[in-house]
Amino acid sequence: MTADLHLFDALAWRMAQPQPGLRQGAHRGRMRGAGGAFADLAPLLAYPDARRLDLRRSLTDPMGGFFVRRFERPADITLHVLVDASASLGAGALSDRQGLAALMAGGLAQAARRGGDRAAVQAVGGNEILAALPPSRRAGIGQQARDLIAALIPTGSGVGGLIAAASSLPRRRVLVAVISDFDISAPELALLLEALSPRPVLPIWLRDSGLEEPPGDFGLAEIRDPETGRRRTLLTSGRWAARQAQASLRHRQSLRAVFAGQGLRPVEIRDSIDIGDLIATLDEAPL
Amino acid sequence: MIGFTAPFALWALPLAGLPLLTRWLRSSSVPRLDLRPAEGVSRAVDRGLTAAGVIALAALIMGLAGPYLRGGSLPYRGMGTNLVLLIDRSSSMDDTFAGRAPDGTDESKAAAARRILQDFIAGRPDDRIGIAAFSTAPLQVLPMTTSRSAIAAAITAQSERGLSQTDVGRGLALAMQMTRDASAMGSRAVVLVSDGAAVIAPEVQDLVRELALEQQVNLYWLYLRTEGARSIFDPGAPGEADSPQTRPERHLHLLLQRLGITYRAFEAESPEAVAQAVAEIGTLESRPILTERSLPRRDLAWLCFLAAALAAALLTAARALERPFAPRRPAPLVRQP
Repeated sequence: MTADLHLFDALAWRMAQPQPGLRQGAHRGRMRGAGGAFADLAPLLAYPDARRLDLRRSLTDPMGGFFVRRFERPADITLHVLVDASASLGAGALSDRQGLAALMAGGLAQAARRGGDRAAVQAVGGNEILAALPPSRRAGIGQQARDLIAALIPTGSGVGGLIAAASSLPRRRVLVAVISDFDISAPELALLLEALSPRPVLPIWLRDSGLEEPPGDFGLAEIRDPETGRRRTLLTSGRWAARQAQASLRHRQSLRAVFAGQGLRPVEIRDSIDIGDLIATLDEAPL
Repeated sequence: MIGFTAPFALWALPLAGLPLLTRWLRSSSVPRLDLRPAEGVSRAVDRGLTAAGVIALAALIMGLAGPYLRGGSLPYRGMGTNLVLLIDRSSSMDDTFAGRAPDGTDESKAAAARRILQDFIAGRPDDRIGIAAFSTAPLQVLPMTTSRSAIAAAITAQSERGLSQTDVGRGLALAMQMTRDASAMGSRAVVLVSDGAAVIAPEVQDLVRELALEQQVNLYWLYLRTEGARSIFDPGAPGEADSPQTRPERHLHLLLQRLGITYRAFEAESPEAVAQAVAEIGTLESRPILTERSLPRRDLAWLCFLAAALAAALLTAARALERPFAPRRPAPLVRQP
């Protein structure tokens, strides 16, 4: 268990916008200070730090004013890991979705701590919060988050709780990682993303190829919705499997369209995590 | 009309609703059924399985209750008559036509009459037949019925030894009274089988006459004449004594002729002649008759058990075809390079 978490140490994300905040961190800050990248020039009178006097600019100023260089002060953020722990998280065929969710939550928390950010975890099932970790940068938070998610029992249905949790998150200095199977309809997803905006969001989509493309053997399969308890008997065949795969593909495309409408691109994890892929995807993630 | 041998078993019938509450196949978890396409065939299979479960249980319980179709009688039109056989049980009937005790080669008159009458009724399925006997007193053996087995048994039962007297007058009265039970449609006939007669008292003669007019029966006398006895058709030589006391058979014949109803007498001196006479009575008495056929009770439990077996076979086939939605083989969390 512990062995897998260190694989996430190299995980890093780059925020598109400079972040407000005084705390020293690893992300571009909005505050001006001494360290980091050059930001702009300011009059010495407004920003009296004579150590950083820009001689060239001061000498060439036609009005004879003095100017100092200002630098971006790197800021930290809080990574909020939001785990959709509704009953569908426990359903899986070719993947252990709950194990994946736990590993991702733990790994992201670990990576956040490594990058100097704080991490918080909330697992929401149905309309209630099943488990939560307050924001912290303690050592071992990754393992703690992973154990927390791995131990809970997924219950509840719908995205109501997730939407409520999302809208109560702080609006600034956060990155929200939503770990979910996204077994929801496109309008529900739109509502969820609406509630999350304007925060930067990192959707992590736990896909299961077994549920998306069931095998086409002839037979009778009884399926049960873990969230609503509805049951249905299916007559399975090759053609049926093809139709299922097609419908699943259409559904995924409609969800991707909703994500794209909010300027997001989900990180799709199909059955198991490929660390190299994950690092590359996160590097390019539009945050 | 359906009846049940064990109706209390029907109290278990609500159990047939169990398949509505529980499912037959093991289910696998698949989230968001409403987002997945539903197919008509699958829906039909779904409902069919539930229906098969309900049918299997209901049919089994019905079968245990033992349903049957009540028997009864079905009126129908046949060809035949309402017939009363009036059989002489006097001891002389136990002799052969030759007037001797039966010795193995010849059968007695009573045995020949029984045998021929059995054949006669066996060939006439639509007759309603009643049987009366007389010797010292008249005796109703079997009221009019259509049951062939009862009639055959009643005729066979006449093999007991006869008694001494021959009260033919009151026997006739009884037989004519029995024709009152005849069905409304169809003719009535009385077949008198005897080998002799006796003097009939005047009041009995009056009774017979009244009854004959009331019932309008066709009367046939099968006279089993012993060898040497005088014929009933023989008027006798002039001057010979011709009184009911000396020749009771001839005077019975004359009485019956005067009743004002259809009457025929047959004289038979051998079993062959008896068979011939009976065959002739048979042709004379083949007229439309309204009679009834009895329907036996029919067991229906096998139908229920058959339905239950078929439904159970369907459920077994469904179980044989059962498969998970997708195989549950979780991949490792982290893909190994």
